Amino acid sequence: MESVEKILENWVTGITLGSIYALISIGMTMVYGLIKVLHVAHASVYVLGAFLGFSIYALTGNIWLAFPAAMAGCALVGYLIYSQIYQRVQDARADITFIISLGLFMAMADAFRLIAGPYSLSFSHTFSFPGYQSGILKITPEQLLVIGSSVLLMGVVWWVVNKTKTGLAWKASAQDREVAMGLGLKVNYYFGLNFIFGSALAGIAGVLVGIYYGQVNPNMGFLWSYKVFVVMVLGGLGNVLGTVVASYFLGIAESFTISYFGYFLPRDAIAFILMIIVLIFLPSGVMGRRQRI
Amino acid sequence: MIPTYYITVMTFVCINILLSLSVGVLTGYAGQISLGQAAFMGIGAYTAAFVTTKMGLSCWLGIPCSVFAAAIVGFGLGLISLRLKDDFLAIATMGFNFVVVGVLLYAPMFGRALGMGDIPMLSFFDNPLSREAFLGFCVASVVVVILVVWWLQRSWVGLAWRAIREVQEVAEVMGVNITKYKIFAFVVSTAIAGFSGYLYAHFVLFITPYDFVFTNSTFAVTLAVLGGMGTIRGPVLGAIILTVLPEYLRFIQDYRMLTYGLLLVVILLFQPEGLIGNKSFLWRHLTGLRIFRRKPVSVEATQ
Amino acid sequence: MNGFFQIENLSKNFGGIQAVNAANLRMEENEILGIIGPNGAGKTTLFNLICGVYSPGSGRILFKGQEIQGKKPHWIAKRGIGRTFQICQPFKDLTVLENVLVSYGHSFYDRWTCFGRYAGRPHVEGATKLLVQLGLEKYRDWESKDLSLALQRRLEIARAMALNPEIILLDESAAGLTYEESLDLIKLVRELKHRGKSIILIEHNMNVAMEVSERLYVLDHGAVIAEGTPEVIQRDERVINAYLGSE
Repeated sequence: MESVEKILENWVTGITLGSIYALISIGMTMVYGLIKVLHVAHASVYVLGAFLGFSIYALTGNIWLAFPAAMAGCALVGYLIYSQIYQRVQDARADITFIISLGLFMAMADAFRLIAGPYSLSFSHTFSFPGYQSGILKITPEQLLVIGSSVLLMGVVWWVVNKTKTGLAWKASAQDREVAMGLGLKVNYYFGLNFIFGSALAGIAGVLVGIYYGQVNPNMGFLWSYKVFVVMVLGGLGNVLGTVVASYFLGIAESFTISYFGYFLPRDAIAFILMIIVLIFLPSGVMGRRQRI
Repeated sequence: MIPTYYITVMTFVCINILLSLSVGVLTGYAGQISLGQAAFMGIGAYTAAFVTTKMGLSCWLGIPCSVFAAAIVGFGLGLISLRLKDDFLAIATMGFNFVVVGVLLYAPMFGRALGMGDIPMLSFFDNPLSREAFLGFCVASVVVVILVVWWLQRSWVGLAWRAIREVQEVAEVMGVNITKYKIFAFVVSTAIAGFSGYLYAHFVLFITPYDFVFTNSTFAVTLAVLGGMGTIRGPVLGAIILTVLPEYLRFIQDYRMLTYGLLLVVILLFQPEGLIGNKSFLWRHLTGLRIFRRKPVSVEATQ
Repeated sequence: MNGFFQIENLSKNFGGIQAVNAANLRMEENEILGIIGPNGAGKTTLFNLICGVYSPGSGRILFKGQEIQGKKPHWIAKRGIGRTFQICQPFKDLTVLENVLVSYGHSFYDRWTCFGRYAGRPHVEGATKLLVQLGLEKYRDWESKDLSLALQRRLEIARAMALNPEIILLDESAAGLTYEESLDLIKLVRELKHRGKSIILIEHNMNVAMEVSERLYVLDHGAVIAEGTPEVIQRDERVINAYLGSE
């Protein structure tokens, strides 16, 4: 029987992981809900955030500057991706758009490798605030940071989606884009905002991951991109709440299985099998956009 | 005597042409996306290796075995394609690639991460084929496959595929059995990819799972996209360019992912017909067809 | 009762929305039937049920005594039911001729003949004859996306005709047409009847519907609320109410 301490540790790790998954996935699932595109390149935006944060930290020594830098950089890049790429291929088939996104993702990943080198760069910082310790429950400062900022940010997301005019516009456009346009909604403007918003979130996630694992490397995107897919599919594409729930589910499940089984299973293969099975057995809402005739 | 180096490059050109055509058939004609062609190449290659090294059979038997193995699995993927469309199919095929590589990495009978080596060269009654002869065999294979694909696309099968590519629900209402034809597209495409794997195995004589990772599947797609899907000349040209160019421009080898990624983005954004696809800028000017309307496209369309 | 074509108690529900509600319909051979009703009444869904795109929740569709509900679209197409679509959906990158050839080849797809050349002379000639019948022969080699709306509608009809069908379903073929074009359409429908076809048309254009239909069915909220000749229907109170939307 595992000690209670170990179990608690797994829970904390799992929640931390889940928070990170959630922050990355929210942006991608929102984009999907709006323009029905699987924005794979989002994973590269997230990596960009990590590197930007790392660079600012290396330059200034101030960890707290890293966050706004990453947010700004990623927001800009996210907007560029929308305006220069997705806006141009609005009526293309979904798989072609997916391949474009994939190509962009690969190009960006390789660019990171060429600029920053193929190896991990150490990104460690000792925080001035302590972790939390109460009896056998132990949370490191980094975990506290991750979980705290995630909760805060998800609160922001909830507020924006449910309480602002922008969020309302998003929901309307997601339901029926043409009707929204017909009602005079500047759809492109709001889509652009969505990209900015989601990309900024991804940027923060990148910095947090860098800090949490103490390193950044150009392959970060690959590791997380497929997990984001799984989370999105499990949570229901375009469904922000579902995605968040699925993120925590995956994070906690992973944390426990790693702790008990180690790494001997090829995790990406397993994740994909899971995802394919889910995709196949999901109701027709996901079964491809059936041409309405 | 042609230097060995050129023979090697030309052999790879042949193998890549086959890989590229497999994408062309599936995506260019039938409109089904697959980001897992490298996995089928792997299935073909490993079958060829297994048949000769582990079962000790004639290397020529590898041809039907590799093709069949790839086609059977392709059939399965075709079944999956009936439930998933477009981008979800893309992810599923991508996932499939990971699964196949995962299996190859962990299965002891395939040598795990170390792969399989000592694959014999193709031989004619115990005489191993020379490099030139093997190249000749590859070229002949490419010609045969091109003929098969050409025949298919000018037949009712090809028309059915193109209708499916356009609007599959309408095609079905017009009498096309889309289930059968989608699966058939997968089977043909993966059979070709499997055959390219067979040639690959008997050329490099040593294969590992890392030869067939997902990034190679995107390479295969880039080959077809560059030249222009929906034609035969497109994938052929794309394969030639992307095999030969990295040899001339050595430095590209280091920037491969970047180049392929950017190529995909740029081409699909600005010239999705590819370089010499049916309506591409280059092709229209090369063949002097400035105004399509006046020219009998029904002749052109059977091209 | 086994006649030429009937629909018995057909229902289709989409996640809580009853799109078609216990519909009954009967058609004799060589009739021209009209289906009208306010928007969202389930008319196109009915067509989709007939040609196999959807499977009904309950009910039957009988064509020449055989049940066809729930069967696959290509099977139904080959049995002799062709249709056009509310929003024109030609195969955009194919030529006009190739568009027609797709359905023209319906008998070749499921046998070894599928490996034959689709552009063989007898096929091209046969398909061209159809184009001539619809006045499209001079657009034969045009890319179908370059056709005007009226021509695209005719192309859709040509495509349906290439199935050599006994029943043709026309889904709002008069939508977006000018007055002259809709007169041409009426002439065309009568011509089709003259050639022995049976036609069911969904129409929003009341003039066309009343002018060309021999009998009408009126749908509202998925249910048949009235049936009869145009004269009777025009005076039917329920129909008037349905269109005026008294709720």
